[in-house]
Amino acid sequence: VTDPTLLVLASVSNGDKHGYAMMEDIVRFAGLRLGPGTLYGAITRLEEQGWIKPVGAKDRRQPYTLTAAGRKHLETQLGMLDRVVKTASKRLRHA
Amino acid sequence: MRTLTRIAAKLYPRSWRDRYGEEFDALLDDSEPDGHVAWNVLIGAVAMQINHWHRAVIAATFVVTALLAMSWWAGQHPYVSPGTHRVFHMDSTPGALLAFLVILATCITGIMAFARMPGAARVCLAIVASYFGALASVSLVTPQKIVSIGDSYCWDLWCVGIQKVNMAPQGQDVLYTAEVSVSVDSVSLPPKPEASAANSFFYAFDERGRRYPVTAIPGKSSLTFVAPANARELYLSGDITAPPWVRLYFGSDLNPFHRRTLLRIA
Repeated sequence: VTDPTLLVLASVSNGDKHGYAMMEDIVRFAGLRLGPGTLYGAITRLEEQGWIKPVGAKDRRQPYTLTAAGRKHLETQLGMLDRVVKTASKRLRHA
Repeated sequence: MRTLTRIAAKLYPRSWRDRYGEEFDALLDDSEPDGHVAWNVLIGAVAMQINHWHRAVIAATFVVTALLAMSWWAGQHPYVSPGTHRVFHMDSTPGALLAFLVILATCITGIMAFARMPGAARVCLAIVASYFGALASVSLVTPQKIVSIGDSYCWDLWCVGIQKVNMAPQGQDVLYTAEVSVSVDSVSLPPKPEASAANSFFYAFDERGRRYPVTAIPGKSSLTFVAPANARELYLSGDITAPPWVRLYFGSDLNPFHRRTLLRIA
């Protein structure tokens, strides 16, 4: 999974995070370091879609939270990925 | 590298920077600056600029690209006349009428703008911009006309055609003698061209744009010139003089966007 928007949604799904925290979290769970341009490109798109929103910032770092629509979108995407993974695994076993 | 990253970050659209600039700078302060980060920020800025372009800019870019492609195609496919004694005209009469109406409309709206009537200046500018846009577009996508030997080309009251061309080697070069028919208002001129006038009006050039002066042969309707043997295509053209506004006509050979009609010599 390399889609930055999906990685950001997955990152904020367990709590609010600012950009740098997302970046480090994504390295931990996906082994992928998103560049600042890529990360903020994804954040911009996700906020435009209404899937994440900013929450109260204590300093210059702006945390984001997952919205209800964002959670629904993430669940749909994960459901699709799950089907793909299961189908591919099944086919590999029978190949 | 931090400075480079900062410069790249400044390339994001202003509206984007107003919204995300501070938190983005905070992220850059937290990140280890290296070449990869600077490049990533630069690519992000370019992508965001493209995303923020107004639809009109994207449409204009598409139109200009399509126009340039069509213009290139038109440039590769000139219309070559059949050489069957046909007469072609510089068809700028409708263009002259249209230009007159546009100039009239521009003057009226210009006067209204001068009198500080609201919106008049914008309308005046829109008329001028639309006309020049259409003039350039139509001219650029119109293929060039090449009049073959035997055919004639007319503008205003004048008609010129090359009837026959003789070639004779002259050292490393070739001496071309072209029999030219010239008529004014459908009346053929006697074979006594004003040599000096013909010499200053006509010129020949080749496919590489090399220009060769022509000389009228006294007492004959013929023009001669010498061109190198390696000139593959030769054309005759003339320095047409006309009032400056003729340059604004659709279909006019003097229009700077229009590919000029040429008389083929060889």
